[in-house]
Amino acid sequence: MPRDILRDIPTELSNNWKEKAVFFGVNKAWDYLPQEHTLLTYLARDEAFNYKTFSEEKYFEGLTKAREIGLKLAGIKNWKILKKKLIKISDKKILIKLSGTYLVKRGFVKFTEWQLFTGEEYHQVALIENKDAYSPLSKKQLKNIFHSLLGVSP
Amino acid sequence: MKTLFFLVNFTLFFSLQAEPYRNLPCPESTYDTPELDRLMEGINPVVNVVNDCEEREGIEDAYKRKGDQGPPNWPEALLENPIDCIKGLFSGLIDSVVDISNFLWSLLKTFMNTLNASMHGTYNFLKAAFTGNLSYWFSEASNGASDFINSFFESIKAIPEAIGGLFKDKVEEWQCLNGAGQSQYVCKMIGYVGGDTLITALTLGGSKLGLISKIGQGVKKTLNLKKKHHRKARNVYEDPKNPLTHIPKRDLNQLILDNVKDRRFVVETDASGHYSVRYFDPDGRPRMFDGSPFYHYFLNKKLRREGVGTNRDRSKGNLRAGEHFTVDVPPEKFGDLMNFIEKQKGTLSMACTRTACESMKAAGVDIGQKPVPSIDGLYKTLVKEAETNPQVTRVPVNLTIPEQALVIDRFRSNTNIVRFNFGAVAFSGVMYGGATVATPPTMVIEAMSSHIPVGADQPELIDR
Repeated sequence: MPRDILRDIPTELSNNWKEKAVFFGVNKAWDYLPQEHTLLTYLARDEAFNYKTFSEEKYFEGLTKAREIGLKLAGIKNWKILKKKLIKISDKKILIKLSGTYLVKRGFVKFTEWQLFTGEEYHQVALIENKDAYSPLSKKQLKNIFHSLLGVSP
Repeated sequence: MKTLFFLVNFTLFFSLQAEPYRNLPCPESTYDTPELDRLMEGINPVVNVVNDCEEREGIEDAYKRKGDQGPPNWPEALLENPIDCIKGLFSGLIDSVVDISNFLWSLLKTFMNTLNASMHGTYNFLKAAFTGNLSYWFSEASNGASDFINSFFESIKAIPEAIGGLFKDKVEEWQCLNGAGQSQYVCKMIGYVGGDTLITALTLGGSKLGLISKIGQGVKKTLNLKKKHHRKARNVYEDPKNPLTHIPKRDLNQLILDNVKDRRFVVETDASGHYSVRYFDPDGRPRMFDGSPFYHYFLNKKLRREGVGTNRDRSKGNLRAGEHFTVDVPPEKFGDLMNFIEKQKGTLSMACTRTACESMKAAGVDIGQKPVPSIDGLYKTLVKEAETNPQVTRVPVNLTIPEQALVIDRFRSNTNIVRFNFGAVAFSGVMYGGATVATPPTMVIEAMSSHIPVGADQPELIDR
């Protein structure tokens, strides 16, 4: 496992977030107390990357396919990227920001997912919230939380 | 490349499995019956009354099928045992936190290879991101456990028969699980590999891509299955823990029901435990129990298409006590028999199943180094012999009992009823005749039983 998995929401922003028991799949997870069905997850995996062969176009195409196949079992459909951004932090570090929607039985869900490829490790933070929910979270707050969990500077 | 490597190995493996027969020329029959009888003296079936399920380890008692229980009612039991399913589902999920990503990714990669080879450049990036699916699983399970479980159920319900079929062939424990146990088992498997993956693999013909094998590996790993051990016939002559005196010997006459004692009863096995039993049920109907369906399944594609090797459930799942026999033949007897056959070279031929041949080799018996013909080759040889040797009659498989009796009685005057057993169970041709082809592990007891599945059409006897 990656060395640094003891990441946490910054103390100054930790109000309203409650860490919850993780029973499979992710390293950490938090409920957002003011709003039902809003959840933040963090996971990290070891993986080596070869940046010379990376194709942005193929990556997003493949990612959508991977999510389609992997999520259907849990009743998650129509996982769709609406916005995407790739930031090359260094020769061996890529940050990918995604947002979009998917459909489950209770309705459409918004997701915001950031992926960090460090050369040796993969880190992912994902926030999900009901699509029609009004989020009291500010974009700035969210960015700070994401940056903190991924260990990258804004 | 890995897929290709796997396929090559897969093919090679089963090619080797499907080349198990040895056949020497078998011209005229002039062998010495008393000598053969003497050689075979004492090789009476060692009847082990085995209740596999009771002896199974690693199955919770609540999920174990009892002797007095009928067949499991999977998949109906799924909905009757939702808690068992959920327990199994999450058990499989938790077991597979790391494995599942690699496993599912390997499947995705396979599909991508097919769909778009150019994905390779981003292979590791996608593989890593693929593990991120788990965060969505977790989120949805947290937000609405019931919806999440229902989604799994929908996936499971979509393929119960396919999944059941898969397990029947691949999982030794399957027949020993009751309905609740089979539900829990399937759900655990679903939790491990994902129902959608199974659906995809099954509907896209995953076996051709080696996916079924991978699933099997996943099952073994997550469910901590051991290699089959109870299925193998115990060699009472080599196992010090099971001295011959402790093996319950029972008189076949006591085991065969009174109303069928005058009929036929055949136990076929080899020394490694691939066996079948042809017998009669209490209603007098002919039955065949294939004790090694997985082994037989891969012998021959034609057989597979005809359902051979998958017939464990054709009559019923497990034999009851008294219907399950294994036959152990001491290695020295094999040796004697082989020596006898060698002396009779030219008049006696020999065929053995792969496992029997291997057993004999392991026991130091020289069975020669001649090329072993394929099962098709052996079959063709025997068919040719049937066409040219008036003493040999080819008999179609689906004979009625009276028709088989007619054939057997015809040759009884020669005192030698010889059955050409092709090693595989219920191969497309069975021959009886005055010739002397014998497979040591095949013993004809009293007379031959029928291959007829209940309800099958009864073709007429081919008379020469």
